[in-house]
Amino acid sequence: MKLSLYQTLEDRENPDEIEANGPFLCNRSNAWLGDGYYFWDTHIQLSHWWGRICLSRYVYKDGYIICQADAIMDETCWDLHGNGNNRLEFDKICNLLVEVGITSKAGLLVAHVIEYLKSKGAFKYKAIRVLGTNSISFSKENQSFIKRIPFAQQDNVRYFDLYPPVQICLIEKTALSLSNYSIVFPTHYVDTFA
Amino acid sequence: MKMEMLEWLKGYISSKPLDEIKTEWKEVERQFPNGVNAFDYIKLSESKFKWGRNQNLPFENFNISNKLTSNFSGSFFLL
Repeated sequence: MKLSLYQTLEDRENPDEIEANGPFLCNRSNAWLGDGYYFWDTHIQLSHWWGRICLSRYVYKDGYIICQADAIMDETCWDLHGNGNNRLEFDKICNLLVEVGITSKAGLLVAHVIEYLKSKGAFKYKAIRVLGTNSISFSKENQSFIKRIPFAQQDNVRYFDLYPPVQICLIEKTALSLSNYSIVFPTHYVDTFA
Repeated sequence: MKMEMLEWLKGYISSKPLDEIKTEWKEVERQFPNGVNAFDYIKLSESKFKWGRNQNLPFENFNISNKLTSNFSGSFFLL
């Protein structure tokens, strides 16, 4: 399955550097899937949303850039979004860690599972795909970034999320045959001449 | 279907003193002190989206909105 991936970066007026050296690693201590190259899956709206969030919180000072890349889903991806068996495995691993007393429910972070397995050479995947459930709150300010279709207008409403906030974290820069990393926003950085 | 990492973990836990594994684990916790709780994530993923017209979305009661994980590449989990 072919993928279009999007990465949001701070605009530091360095488009040449970005295209030459991207994608960029996130190795912050609070990276929720551990160290890796983080992307949004398919929907550029999600990248725009993240850029706006960073701007509003003054994390990005002067603007943001969005880069797009092509990738191919394969068996090297731990697909916690599309593969139920992968999700079950994650669930069982978490329960095992708590049951034997290695950690507690309250203290176990998603990143801990991944980074511990990596540290022991037991993490067999080169990428992780996961739905950031409820990453984007259902607020007025986020309306332009989400598209949800309710199934039925009843007291209890379920909806179909057309722009699910699926993230892909590449453990290795070239995982999933990543290619064609290039700036797609803002337009004044886009090379329109082939 | 085979769950290789789960099977590896079971074997590893069986082969080592628990205290040793806990020490290893604490090092990972030290390197990644903040982030999204694994069980919160599992619970949210399992939940069905139901709400009344005049009610708050049930998942909005899960207050993990401070779990900003990255300000660089969009790697985050934020409500």
